[in-house]
Amino acid sequence: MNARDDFVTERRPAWERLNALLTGVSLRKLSGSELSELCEGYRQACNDLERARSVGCTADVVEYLEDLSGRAYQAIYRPKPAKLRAAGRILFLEFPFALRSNLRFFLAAAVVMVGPAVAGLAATWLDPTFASRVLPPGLLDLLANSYVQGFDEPRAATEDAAMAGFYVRNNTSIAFRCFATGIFAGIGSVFFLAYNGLVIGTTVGYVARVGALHNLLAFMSGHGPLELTAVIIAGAAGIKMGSVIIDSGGRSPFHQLREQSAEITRLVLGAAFLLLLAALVEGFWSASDAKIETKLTASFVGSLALLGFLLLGGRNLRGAPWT
Amino acid sequence: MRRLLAYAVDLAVRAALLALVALSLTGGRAAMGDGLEGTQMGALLASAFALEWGYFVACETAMQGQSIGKRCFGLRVVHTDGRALTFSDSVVRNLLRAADFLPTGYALGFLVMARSQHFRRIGDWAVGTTVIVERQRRVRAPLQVHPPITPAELSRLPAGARLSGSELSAVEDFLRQAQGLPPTREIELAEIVAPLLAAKFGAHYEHAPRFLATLHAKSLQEGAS
Repeated sequence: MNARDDFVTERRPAWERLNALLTGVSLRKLSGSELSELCEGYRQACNDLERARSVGCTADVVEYLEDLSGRAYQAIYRPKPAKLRAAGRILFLEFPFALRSNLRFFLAAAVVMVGPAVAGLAATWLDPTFASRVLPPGLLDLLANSYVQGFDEPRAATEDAAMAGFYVRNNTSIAFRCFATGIFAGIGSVFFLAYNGLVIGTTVGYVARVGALHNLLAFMSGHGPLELTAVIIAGAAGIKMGSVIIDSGGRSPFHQLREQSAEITRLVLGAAFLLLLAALVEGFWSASDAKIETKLTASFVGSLALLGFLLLGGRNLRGAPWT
Repeated sequence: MRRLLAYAVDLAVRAALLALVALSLTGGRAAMGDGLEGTQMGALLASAFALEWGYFVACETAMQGQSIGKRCFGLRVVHTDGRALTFSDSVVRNLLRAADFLPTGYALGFLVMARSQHFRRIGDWAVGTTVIVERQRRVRAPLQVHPPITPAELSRLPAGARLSGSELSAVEDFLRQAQGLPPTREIELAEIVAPLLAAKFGAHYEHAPRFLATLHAKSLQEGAS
């Protein structure tokens, strides 16, 4: 035997003990003394790794110790577990607060989306052929049919499911795409916001032309405000992400982005929360046979509540509460 | 490759969960498309939404950077400095799947991964994470040479003859491999490197594998003193 092999033979039981502590039951079930044993074992494993490197142990020993100390590090320095109360705080306090701190991004996103929407609406109204240049004719026919038919006589369940499914999947994907493509210097967010604004404006204009505006309003009034706000907020988060990448203050763009990621996460989680509410409203309420007056009143009250929440939620927070 | 397989498993798990929700909603009346009322459809859509966007975040938060598919294939998401994944980073990382997905089928994500050293997609770049392979490694038992090297053999080597660092590792790997080889093949392989080492140390040998084993033993012994 020699010193190098003696070292491995002598330390091996300690490594196996640490490995057993790490791979056995969850850390929460370990007793106090086992926990201190774990921490001690971790420090020893780090020492042993350095020693193994310097005495020229073979790759198998060095790699084994790298893996072992890496896993012990992760187990000991894990982030705080997510709690339900923290989720409530994020959604009801930090999200509106983050939104108000980033008002300029929200306004920019709103302009980028609403501008093309108004343009699409006006163009469809003035030029009957405009809609067919933006949307495929098949979709236009489908839209016209379903809204002219209205909700007075309940649609077949399959049709209902198909429409609702199409909208929810489509709209949530749109919102998250508006956010995610902001990584390309914000260009993707601006593009998708503008494009979807144009599609929405054109759709409303076209349905209004075929004389089914009241049905469209009745359907969209429920989830529309929630969904559009959510899309704009997601787009605003994307634009913010792009602006951080462009103007990173002399540091690496991704480093700067990591600093901002907690705040951006608040915005996106808030948008996701609103989208989930919108999906629930859409599934349970929008296609129901309630009267249009009822739906519009509910929409108005709901929008006021949303506005109040976004303006007042978390108004006692100061600074950057997520750090 | 592992990540592709892990993704396939996760996709299957999500599909199965959704089917389970659908089944429980219809109360077993295996109804695809018809028979779903408005409220049931609403609940199904909300679950589809939650599964599509929340599955990875929920898994990675609850299972320390692993999803079910990642666990199957021994993968874990960690920060590049080794820290465990946090909740907010998991959110951004997974929402940016929408950017990686562009223009379709994660094409951009694959491109970015292929260009980066540790196969990181855009979502990984944004929050500074990387996906690692966790392998259970084993420490090999100390090398035993048969018959054991005698002190007489050791003393026949010149005083300065000593392997270091990568030479030592390479010779040790060879000696471990050689134990399962036919003797002629063992000599054939050892003859590739033995003349070079003999010339370097000014040593002579008769049997190349035995020479390497003696050199190895001497180097370890002197490393100790």
